[in-house]
Formats: sequence, C-alpha cells, structure tokens
Amino acid sequence: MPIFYLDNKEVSFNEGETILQVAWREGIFIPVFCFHPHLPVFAGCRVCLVEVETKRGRTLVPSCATQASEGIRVFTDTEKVREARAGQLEFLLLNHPIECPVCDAGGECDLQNIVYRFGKTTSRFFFEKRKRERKYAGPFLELYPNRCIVCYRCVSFYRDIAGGDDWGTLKRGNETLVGPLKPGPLESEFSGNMIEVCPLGAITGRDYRFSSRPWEHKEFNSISPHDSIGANTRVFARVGGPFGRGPVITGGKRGEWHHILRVNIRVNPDVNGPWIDDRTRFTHGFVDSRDRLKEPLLKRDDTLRAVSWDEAIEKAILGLKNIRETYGPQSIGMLTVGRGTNESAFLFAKLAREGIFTQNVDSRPTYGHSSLDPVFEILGSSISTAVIKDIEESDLIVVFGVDIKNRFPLLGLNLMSAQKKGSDIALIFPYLDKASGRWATRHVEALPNEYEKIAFAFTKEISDILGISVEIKGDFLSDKIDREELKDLADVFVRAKKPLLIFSDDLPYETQKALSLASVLKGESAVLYLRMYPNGQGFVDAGVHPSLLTGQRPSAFLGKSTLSMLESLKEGDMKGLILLRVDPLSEFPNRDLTEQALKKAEFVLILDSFETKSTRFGDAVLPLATFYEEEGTYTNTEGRVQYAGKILDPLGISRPAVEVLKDLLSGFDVTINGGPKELFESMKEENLIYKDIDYGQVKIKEEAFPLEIPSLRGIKKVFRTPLATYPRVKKIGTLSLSEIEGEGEFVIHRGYRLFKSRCTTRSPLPREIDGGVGLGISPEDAKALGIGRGDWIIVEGEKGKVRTPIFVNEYLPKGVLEGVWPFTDFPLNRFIGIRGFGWVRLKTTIPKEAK
Amino acid sequence: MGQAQDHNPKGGKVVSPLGLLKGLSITFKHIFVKKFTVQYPEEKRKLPARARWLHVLQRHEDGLERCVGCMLCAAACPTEAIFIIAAENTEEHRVSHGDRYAKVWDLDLGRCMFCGYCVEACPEEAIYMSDVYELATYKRDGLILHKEDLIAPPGSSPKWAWSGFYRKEPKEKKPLTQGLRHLKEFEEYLRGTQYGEHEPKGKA
Repeated sequence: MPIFYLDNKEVSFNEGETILQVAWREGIFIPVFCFHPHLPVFAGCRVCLVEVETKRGRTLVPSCATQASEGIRVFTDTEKVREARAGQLEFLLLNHPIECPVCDAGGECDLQNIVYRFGKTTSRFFFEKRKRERKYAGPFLELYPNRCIVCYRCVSFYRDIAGGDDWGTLKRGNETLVGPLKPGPLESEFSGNMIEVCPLGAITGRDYRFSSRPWEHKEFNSISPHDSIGANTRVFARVGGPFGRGPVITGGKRGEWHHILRVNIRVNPDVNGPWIDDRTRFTHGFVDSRDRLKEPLLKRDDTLRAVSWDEAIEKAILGLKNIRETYGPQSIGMLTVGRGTNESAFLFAKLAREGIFTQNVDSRPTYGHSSLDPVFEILGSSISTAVIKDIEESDLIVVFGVDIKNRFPLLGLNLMSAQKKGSDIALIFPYLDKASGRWATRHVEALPNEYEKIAFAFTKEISDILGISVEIKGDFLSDKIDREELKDLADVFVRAKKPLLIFSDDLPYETQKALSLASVLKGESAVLYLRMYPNGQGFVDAGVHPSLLTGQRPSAFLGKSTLSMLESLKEGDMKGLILLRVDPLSEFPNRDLTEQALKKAEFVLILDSFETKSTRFGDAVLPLATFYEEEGTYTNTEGRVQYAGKILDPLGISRPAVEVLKDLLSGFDVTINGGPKELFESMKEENLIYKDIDYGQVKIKEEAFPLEIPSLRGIKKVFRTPLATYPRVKKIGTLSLSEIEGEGEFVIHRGYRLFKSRCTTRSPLPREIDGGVGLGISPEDAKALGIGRGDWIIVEGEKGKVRTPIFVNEYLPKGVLEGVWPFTDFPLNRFIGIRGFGWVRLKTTIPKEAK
Repeated sequence: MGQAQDHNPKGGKVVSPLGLLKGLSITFKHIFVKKFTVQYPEEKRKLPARARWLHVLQRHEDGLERCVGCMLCAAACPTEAIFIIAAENTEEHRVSHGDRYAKVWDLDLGRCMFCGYCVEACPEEAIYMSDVYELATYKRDGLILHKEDLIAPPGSSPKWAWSGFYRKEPKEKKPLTQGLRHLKEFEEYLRGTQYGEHEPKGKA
C-alpha cells in the first residue's frame, strides 16, 4: 500500500483517495463547505486548504480535490494553512448576515461551527452587506439567498443526483444567486434533501421553520411509512413540556409542543442510500389529522356512538362469535392491506386461523384476482429475487406498469444512477413522463388494458428465442401491440448479462405470472417485486394471505381472496367482515360491489386510525394508533426487516393495533403475553423466514463515522438492516389469457400521485401540492372536448355516472383517462375493474363552474 | 472548672447591677436610633439599584417586541425554567422585527433562581430583570407566567432596559411592577388598556 506523510505521520492510502478522505479516516478534521461525500467534488469554497510539500516546494492545495500520491508531505495545521482558512472564512462572512438567532440552522450550522473554531473573531468589512429578499421555492422550501455562501452543494445535488433542471444559479461572480429558475413549486420529488445538503440555513423546510432548536428536540430512528422501500429516517420531536420537567416525549398529555418537527435522512446504503424523497420527509402531520378516530365507537340505532374500550372489545367479540355460531367460521372475512407492523400482521393472521378459524384473510391489493399467489407459484416465494441495490448493477432493466415517480420515488435515483453507468432501461407504461425520461432509454407504450397481452407476448418472445416451450392459452397477439419493439426488447433481455424485471403486486394476476415466468426462462434474471402497500411484504410473510400460512407455507385449504370475499358478502354467503386499516370504498376497484358488500354484511368490525368513507358501515369501530405512535418491525419490498419505534403517545384513547388484536384474541381463548421483543421472538418461532433475524440487530445496527464531522449533518452514522431468508424453488407454469372486459370510448385506469395517499392528504404540507384532482385527461382529448383544468365533467359507464373535476396530464396518450387513487372524493373506482381499468364515455353538457 | 467560677471567694452571693445596666443602656439607646424594621407589606424598603427580580420582556421604540424567539435564553437557563414556541411574522400579524417571534414565552418561577443568565444570553436585549420581588402565590399554577404577564405594556419607555441598572431613585409609582398581571397596581393599570378585556389569571 502506498504511503504519504500527514502532519509528519506516515499514513497509507488507496489509489484514487483524496487527501481529505485519508485525513478524515485518520481522525484529522479538515473543515469543508462545498464538499459532500455523496456529491461530485466542486472545490469552490477553499476552506479545506492544506499545505503540501513536493519536490517543487510548498504550496496550498484544496484537499477535497487533490488525490494523495506517494511520498508527499501534507500539513493540515501550519501557520500558512491557518491564515488561509481564516482569510477564506472572512471572505465567506463578508455578505453573510449574522442573523443566527432567527435562522433555522442556528445551533447546527456548519458556518457557525467552523468559523467558531477556525475563523477570526472580528471582521474588517465595514461596508453595507448585500441584501436579498427571501424567496418562495414551493410549498416545502423557503430560500434565504442572503445567507447563501454559494457552495453549490444544492445545485450539485439537484442537477446531478436528482436530475432536476429548475434549480440552479443565476448571474456570476459576487452576484451569483442560487435558487429556483422558474416560479411555482419545484418539480423534483427529492427537493427536500437540499435542506440537509445546505451547510447553513439558506434553504429551510417549511415544516420545521422556527419550531425548535437542536438542543430542544430529541432524535428517533424510524423508517418511511409511505412506500414499501422503507427508507430509513431520523425523526425529530420536541423534548419536554413547557417547563422542562413537564410531559416527557413518550408519556403524559399531548400538547402543542408535543409533535413531530421534521423527518431527516438516515443513511442506509442498502435501502435509501443517503437520500430520502419529499413524501417521506414532509408527510408527518397526519398524526394530528382532524379525522383521527380518538375513541371506540359502537353502532346503536344506525349511528356510531362513543363507548369505553372494554365495552367495545366485548361487543366486537360478541358480534364475531354470534356470526360464527350462526353461519360457521368461514362466513367471516378478514380484510386488510399491508399497513401496520409485522407483529400486528402476525396477530391478525392468528386471529383468523387460530381464533375465528376462518381461511378468508387477505392483505394484497384487490387488483388482480386469485387466492393463489402468482409470484409464489413461479419463483417459490412471494418476494423479489433481487434487492434494491441490484438495480445499479443490472445491464438491462424492464420496468413494467409501475409509475416509479409517484409510487416508489427513491427507485428513481437508483434507476438514474444505473442509466449513468450505461444500463439499458425499458419502461412499459402508458406514457413516458419527464421523471421517467431521466432514466428510461426505451419506452414501449402499453395501454392499461393491454398489460396482460404485452406481458404474454414478451414471455412468448423470450421462450421462442430460448427455445423453451411454454403453454400460453388465449389470443394475445392482437394488432395493437407493437410486436417488433417487444421482440427487440426480448432479444436484448435474453442477451443481457444481468437483466432485472421490476413490476408491482397490483398488476393483474396473469400479468404477474407471465413476468415471473419470463425471469425464470432467462436463468440469471432477477425480479424486483414491488409491494403496493408499505408493509405488504410483512403481511404476506405473516400469513395474511388466503393461500399462504405464516412463513409463506402453502395452505392446504384455499381461502377467499379480497374480491371473492366481497362477492360472497354481496351474495349473502358471508356475513361478517373485519377491516384492518383499510378503506375499501375508496381504495378498491368496483366501488358498487364493495358498497353493496358492506351494506349487506351483518357485522362489520373496523380497526382504523382515521375516519374514512367506510367507517359509517362499521358496527364496531376500534381506534388504532398511527405509525409514529406504535413500535414494531416492518419488512420492505426486498425482505429487509426494519424497526420503527414509538415517538408519540397515541391520540385520545386510541391504542396500538397489537394491543387491540391481543384483546380480540383473548376473546377467542388465545393468549399472547409479553412486550414487543417477546412478540417478535414468538413470531420467529412460527415464521421461519425470519428465523435468522436478531431483534437487537433489527433495532439498531450502526456504523459510526470515525470522526464527528459537523459538516455532514445527516450522515454521521451509517445503518444497516438484516435481510430475511426466503426459500427459492423456481418452476415453469402455464399462462392463460383472462377475458377482456367491455369496450368503450375511453379507457380509464388508476393513476397515482406522489402526494395523494392515505397519509399525505391528511398532512398539511403535502396537501398544498396540487398534482391533479379527479380525472386526468390527455391534451388531445381535452382540446377535442373543449375543456381544461378545473372544469367538471360527467363520466358515464355501465355502472352509472360520476361528476368529477378534470386536469390535463400532458403525457397521457389519446383515449386514456386517469383516475387519481385513492378515490375518496370522486368515486371513479366505480368504473375500474379488478384488472385496473374500465371503459367509459365522457359528457360535457354541464357548464363550467368552480366547486 | 465551672464550679470554681461560680464560687465567690468572699463568701456572700452578691450580683453586680453594672452588667444589667450595661445591657439596658443599649436598649435605651436604641429608642432614639432610627428604626431598622419596616412594617411590611404596608411599608416597603427601597431595593438596591441592581436588584434583579422578575423578568420583563422589552419592546422596541415602535412598539414591536424585542424578543425574536431564538430560544437562546432557554438554552442558557440552568434550571430549564423557560419554554418558547416561536412562530413566523406575517404582514397582517407582525409582532417583532424580522421573520420570527415568540408565540409562547413561558417562565416557571418555581424553577427560576434569578441567576440572570437569560439576560446575558439574549442577543436582542429583550429580557430585563425588574425589582418586582413579591412573587408568592397560593397555587403552583400562579408561578407559571406567560408572555402576556411579562411583556412590557405597549407604549412604555424603550429606555426601560437600561434605566433599571443605573437609576438613582425609583419613581414614585413603580412602572416596573406593571409587568405583573396579578399585582394590584397592574390590575388597575389594565383597566385602562386593551389588556383589560382579559380576565386576570390566577386570582384567588
């Protein structure tokens, strides 16, 4: 290993390492402003100057940009270095207003820290400082150009890492101005990272502004509850009550001072790396949402009335037992989606199979319809075969029917980095928008009603090229599909060294099966199976699945899937329903079917944190704590088990799901004792997938940086989380085309918006982002109909009419409509079938009017 | 030893009156000396010029609050007696200069030890410690004072912050007591101001 001399000490280095990296590793602190370990080197601030003695004499060099070389002598703390640093800091402070008392970064500011340690105490600048007005930069950020020292970190992040182009610099030299390049909100879904990238308080987050000081709040390790990637976060909450001794953070009454202040990055190289998305960062206000359920409710005389917990639990158990005794256990269905802890999923499955003795339990998205699991059938386990980091190492990636930007935004960063490394990335989706344009190299236009055919054709082409015969039933080779393009893609796929298929679990059953089959045909190909709901993987692992028991063991007895449960309820074959954290009316397709099923059910028990459209159908409603109010483990889409702790006390008298399920189980003579750790251990005994996972490791496994570096606020520690082990037995199955439903003028499918989901619409900040409400329409159709954004329209289908506002989605192809999920206010899911699309007509007879 | 001292060698038990007279002479002398005690609470003593008691939050000359809610006093406080929630000034609702003001500025007198660190820490010279020392209450809640109790009345002299330390004689009607809502004088004052609409808090 080559060596050089650092402050007269012999140190070894790896080829290509910079002086700064070596010095930091050796525990010598060199201050930096423009340098950030996860951003390209800029070398503009000149605070990291060190003195280097070479054969040509002694000179000052920026250590962040100078690679170490054999035998050089580096001095980090000579008189010359000190003076250069202090002079540089004096320059940085020339126009920097000393308004630390009102600045948000005060107390965690790099400029403060570094000037305090390395700078001069006085300034020789007696002219008036440059003044600039603060600037609006979208609903999340506020920019103070006055404070900016033009280190270019944010520009570097926004343009190079996030791929955005509406943030940058204006003017030159002393007049350089960093900020948004056009009015209105920022386009990028990663803009919030700039708050943490900024070494001082020039960019501040609107959620945290003025609310606290670093010494006032407490930090908690948590994860993102908004998608199944499970980005690691640090959550800050204000410590103590008004008088210090007052209510501590997890006890006592909740007041104004007792809330989540902000969510920051926690570095986990396996999951989110050093960045998080804006949905994760700014969605935390839902905890105090106005429609939180605060006390148990029971239905009396057709109205829900507040009762005590004891009474509610007693009535809930009684109601379920009545149904079971009158109609048999199989007449009770248990519905949920992947929301909540693994522990609650485990108890939910236990309540079904050991308490009530029903097999009708499901947690998967209703789109696609079978009790069987398509990925389990083909790949041997219902889980991705790849991990998220594999994206960056794959040479061909096929993204099938997933709106990455609006549903799994963090994967966008991985895909962009893969594209930079030269991977070929194909997107099979109705349209290619600006965000996907940053990484997609190919685009196969697929209308939502053609997903299945395209998946079949893709698999067929692969099997043809490889010469493996696969049985595929149905006439899938219609004229509408561009076969040449698919053939080309299949050809590249087969020739690729490490191809990767990305699709989600809300695609139709046969589509998922066909794609899994494609990956099995091509032996080295991996699958990244994305769960639609945050803990969908954990719920399937726990056995909240009609055909898989706890630990993904196939069940001998096939239960009913969500759709068949709703159908049975409507027919009257089933009588009871338990809903855990799900609002089937606004989230599921076939709204009319769901509504009839809920109306017909004799007893509906709802466990939820929020009042939803479905709440009024409940006979007993039990209020649950939200994500930040309960502790437990969560499994992300690649099978990584992660821990999130309790930060706040539950609102009102709501309780964690685990506690409520324990009470319900005790009514069915199943006793569960012990705290979260004991529960996890007992879960491990039954769920063999998690058998190697150590609870202590899940809770915290950190690798601290060798040096406490004030410049790197967010990345002082690196965390890692363990991966569960899944059995993998691959086999080749058969495919058969499902019937195509109906025909019509327009095809409507569900579209996702980053800030339109259960939690984001209940949080104050993300609510301000207007990604489109109601129905999305293509520009051509809008022009033909003579309507624009904000107009209202009547959507007509077989099932009736819906009046809804529209917005123009400039990327949508002609004839395709997009209903924004979840369908809380506008019941467009009336037209959308279980395959995720439906056929409708549009009517514009009504005059323009604002709501 | 004790016995030897008590024993009179001449035999008789004679007590000299000199000691008694000596003691009484001091008593008599003090009849003519100026009285040291005062009839508190009817009569109050003049405090030293630098007495530092209850905090008063100051205002600028234009009537805006000096406090910007930076929380440095709360950080400096060794007993954690100060609690602040800051908020943003808007055009319609401007409380202080700049962007930030203290929406809540609570002081727990049960914890405060009048060390004056908060005064030292304040970058805006917004805190001044007055000579209001009558802070006893019948309820603990009364020890918790809010910004409304501590803020200088609008229109008061901006020189307050400095007049206290160097004043020679306290004015007849102490203006500094006006900072306390539960004091009688302040209640009288309140009747003539906009604050009078509020019910005085913590009143028995």
